[in-house]
Formats: sequence, structure tokens, C-alpha cells
Amino acid sequence: MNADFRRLLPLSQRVAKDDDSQRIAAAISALWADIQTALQPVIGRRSVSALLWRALQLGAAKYSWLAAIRFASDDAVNLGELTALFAAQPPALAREAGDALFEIFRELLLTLIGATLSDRLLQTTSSTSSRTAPAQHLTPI
Amino acid sequence: MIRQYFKLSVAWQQAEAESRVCAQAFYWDALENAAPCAVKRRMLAAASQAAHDALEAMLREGCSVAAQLRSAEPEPHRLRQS
Repeated sequence: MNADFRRLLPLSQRVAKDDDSQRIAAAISALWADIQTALQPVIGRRSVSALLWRALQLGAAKYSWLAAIRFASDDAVNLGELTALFAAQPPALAREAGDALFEIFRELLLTLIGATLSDRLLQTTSSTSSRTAPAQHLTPI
Repeated sequence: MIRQYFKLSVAWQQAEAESRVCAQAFYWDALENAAPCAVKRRMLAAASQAAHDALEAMLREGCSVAAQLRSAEPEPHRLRQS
């Protein structure tokens, strides 16, 4: 993990050290909603879904419970399901897997659109950090 | 007209990027699974179609813009008179 990625790690800005799994899961859900908002105008909705699917697939090699996520009816990732899965894990594991998923996603994005644009787009997600996720963040990606 | 063409151009770039990412996801899936899953096949088809439609619209609009610009140009004999 390089210094730039540390700077772009939005989950750490959204959760406190003693947050429980529910809060961590809500922050992860809000993070993905922000990522979708930042990337969709540039690479399209289906691209964001495709990359998140790939990240989940790769992440499931280490966190097998991630493989339980299913496609929503419109080929999107069901964020409600994703949130519930993270909420069911112990806090430390939920945080670790949330960070790992973001890192995998960022690496995939980097290979497709380059480091400069990836970092610029993902930086917007760290500047909108919030402690909790409102209900409207639970739309499928 | 030019603004509309610019908006179409941005829409096409987005659709084209979407198509490329979906093709890459399809490739990843095909690489690891004998038969790529139906959802990714559908995503790729939809993204490719969207890129194709956006490009068609942009080309149509581009022809229309070019025609309007041509018709707005002063005739050569008028230029000579002035």
C-alpha cells in the first residue's frame, strides 16, 4: 500500500476506532454510493457495477463471505445486501475487508483509466466523508 | 447546436468507456470461467449498444452542424462585392 493510497483511504475517515459493525457497514455503503456518483458521469453506470463485481470476486478469495452477494435485477450490486453482509462481520474484519475491497477496486480502475484520473475521481469520495449512511445510499450500484 | 453536439460527444465518450470496461469485465470472467455469466454478457451487450447509439447520434448531429455552418457561410461572389 503506497502513500497515495493512504491519502485516498476514505473508509478510515468515515468510521471511528470504536465503531460497531453496523456503523462500519453503513459507512461502506455510503462510500460505494459516493464512488458511484463520482465515477458514473465518466465511465457509466454499468462500468461501476462491472468493476465492483470484479472487486468482490477478487476480494472473495480472502473474504469468502463476499461471494454471497448476488446480482440485482438490473445487473447492479445490491448495496443493501452488501451492507448487511458487512454488518454481520466482527468490526475489525468488516473494516479490514472494506479497506481491501476499496483497494482492489482502485487498482482495477487504475489499470483502466490511469492513476491520475483514478486518484482525482476517488479523491472526491474522501472529501465527502460522512460518519453515517443515509437510507438513500442503499440504491444498487 | 454546437452545445448539443458537445453534449453528445461527452455522452459518446462515456458510453465508449462503459463499453470498454464491460468488455474487460467480460474478458476477466471468460478467462476464469468456461462460460462467462449471463449477466456480464448482458452488461457488455447493453454497453456496446449504448456506445453505438451515442456515436450514431453524434455523427447525425455532426452532419447537421456541418450543413448549418455551410449554409451560413457567405457566397464567394458576395465576398468579392464587399
